[in-house]
Amino acid sequence: MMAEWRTYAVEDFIPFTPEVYFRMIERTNEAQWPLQFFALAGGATVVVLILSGRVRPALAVLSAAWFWSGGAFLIHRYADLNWAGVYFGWAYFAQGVILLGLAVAPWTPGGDRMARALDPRWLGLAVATGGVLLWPGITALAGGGWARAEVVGLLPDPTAVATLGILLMALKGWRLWAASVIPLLWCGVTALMLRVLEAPWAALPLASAVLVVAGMVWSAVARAPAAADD
Amino acid sequence: MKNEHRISRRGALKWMGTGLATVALYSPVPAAPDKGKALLKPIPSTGEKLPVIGLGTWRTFNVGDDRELMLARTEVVKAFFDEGGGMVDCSPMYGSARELMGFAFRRMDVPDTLFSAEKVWTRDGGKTREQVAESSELWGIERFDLMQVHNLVAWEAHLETLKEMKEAGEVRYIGITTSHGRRHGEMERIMERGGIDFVQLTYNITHRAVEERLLPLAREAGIAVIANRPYDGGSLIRGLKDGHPVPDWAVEAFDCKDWADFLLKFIVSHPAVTCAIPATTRVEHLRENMAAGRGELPDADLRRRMIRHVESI
Ligand SMILES: NC(=O)c1ccc[n+]([C@@H]2O[C@H](COP(=O)([O-])OP(=O)(O)OC[C@H]3O[C@@H](n4cnc5c(N)ncnc54)[C@H](OP(=O)(O)O)[C@@H]3O)[C@@H](O)[C@H]2O)c1
Repeated sequence: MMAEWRTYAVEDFIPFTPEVYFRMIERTNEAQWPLQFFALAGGATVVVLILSGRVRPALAVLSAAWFWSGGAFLIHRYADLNWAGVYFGWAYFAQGVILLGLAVAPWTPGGDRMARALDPRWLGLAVATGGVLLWPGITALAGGGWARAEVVGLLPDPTAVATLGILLMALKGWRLWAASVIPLLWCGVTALMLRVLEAPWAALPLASAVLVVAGMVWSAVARAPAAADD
Repeated sequence: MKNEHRISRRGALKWMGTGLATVALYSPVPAAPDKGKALLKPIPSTGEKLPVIGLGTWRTFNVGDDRELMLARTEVVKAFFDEGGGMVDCSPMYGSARELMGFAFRRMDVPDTLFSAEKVWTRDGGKTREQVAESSELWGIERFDLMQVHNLVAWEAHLETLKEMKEAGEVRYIGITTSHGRRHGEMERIMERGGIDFVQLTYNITHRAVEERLLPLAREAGIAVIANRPYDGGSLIRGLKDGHPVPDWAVEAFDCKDWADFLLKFIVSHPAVTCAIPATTRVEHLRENMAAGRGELPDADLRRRMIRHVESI
């Protein structure tokens, strides 16, 4: 059995060519135009809401990003290419439910401002900004044009990366860990897929995930000024 | 394999039944007269002959509903039959590849030479017929020539149903597949039990484990062999094409035209191998691959030399 496992490579699980995948991104963007602007504005709004301590509405808006990218991209389009797409889509819905649950459940989100001093939430802000604002630029420049820009809320990668940053800013304790599991897993899955597809930014989802996990550990150890109650 | 003198297989099946059609196929004919005679090899269980180069569809034909790419892949399918192609190998695992076959066939006459090879790929052993029906609807053909159990998934149940379907004339041949050298022991046991016409396995100049047991067993048991991953997924031919000329002695010995010719002829010259099924997204590659299905085949000595040469690169 062990010997058999060694015969598997990541590419055995990627049943399409780079051309097909990136054209699918392009066609999704065409079909959803001009939603990109609303999605970008939505992403920026979430970051601003968190910065101003309004965690619940931020998480509610963020949950919509997961429902949309899971349904409109993973299930509606990507699943045509990869049978696993449906399961990925369901995982995105599950994350949407988790975020929505946190947005409405009876707990007391902390609303304190971010400390000026070093704080794991700054790391969260950096990753969130990267996911919302830089991701479209990076994917457009490295991927062959603005038609291939990946925007938070519409496509799964920037949604997962931005979410990780936002969660690190908004939550701590078990809620932070529980809400981060699916986005972290996705960052791993997509990093492997992008590597097979030879995308120049393949390492970025993983790098973002590593940064956020470091921030989560830091948050747990240092008991930094609370962003939210446990 | 457009040839006026040849009785169309599908036409013959319609009018004369399988027996006569098989007889018609016994006569080897020039596939593309201006390009040379196509090399054909018999399926041991019936003697029906197949062109030695077929067409794979993994990855290459999974283009979703991207119309531009669907049309581009249709050109590959058309070129394949224009070159006298026979076997097309597909699977429910290959995303939208089955839909692509249907899309292509709606844009051309389904060629007489088509030898449709599909797979059953579901852990649910009770879903054999359902999946076969789904595939034939997607391809837009009435029945498949060959139905294989993909990667031996739930093979016992599927094979049982497939045998019934073959007896009822719902499929012409049945088989099993594996790849990457996986589960050869189990494959061997199934081959020894008998009752299958085809096995599909990975065989290429750098992956020759099947020469030990499976290929000799296939010969002995009268089972046709489809060689998958002839280019090791593409890396093999890309590596060789990148700055390495084909050796002069191969050009002299069998008029070797290029690396496609070299690698594919190595595979199909094994006496147990019936055909190889390279996959491609590009018409020019398809034509190179199909050209390897014509001309002389290397003998055993030459095959050894070919191995040494590739290993030395
Ligand atoms: N378990 C199973 O049942 C199983 C497992 C594996 C494979 N298979 C079957 O076997 C078929 C073949 O295996 P495969 O597709 O994995 O690998 P393959 O045929 O060894 O390689 C396909 C790759 O080779 C490239 N290629 C093809 N012709 C070329 C040429 N003349 N020059 C340069 N590059 C060329 C193609 O790229 P371009 O598009 O650029 O030409 C493609 O990337 C599959 O498609 C599938 O039908 C079955």
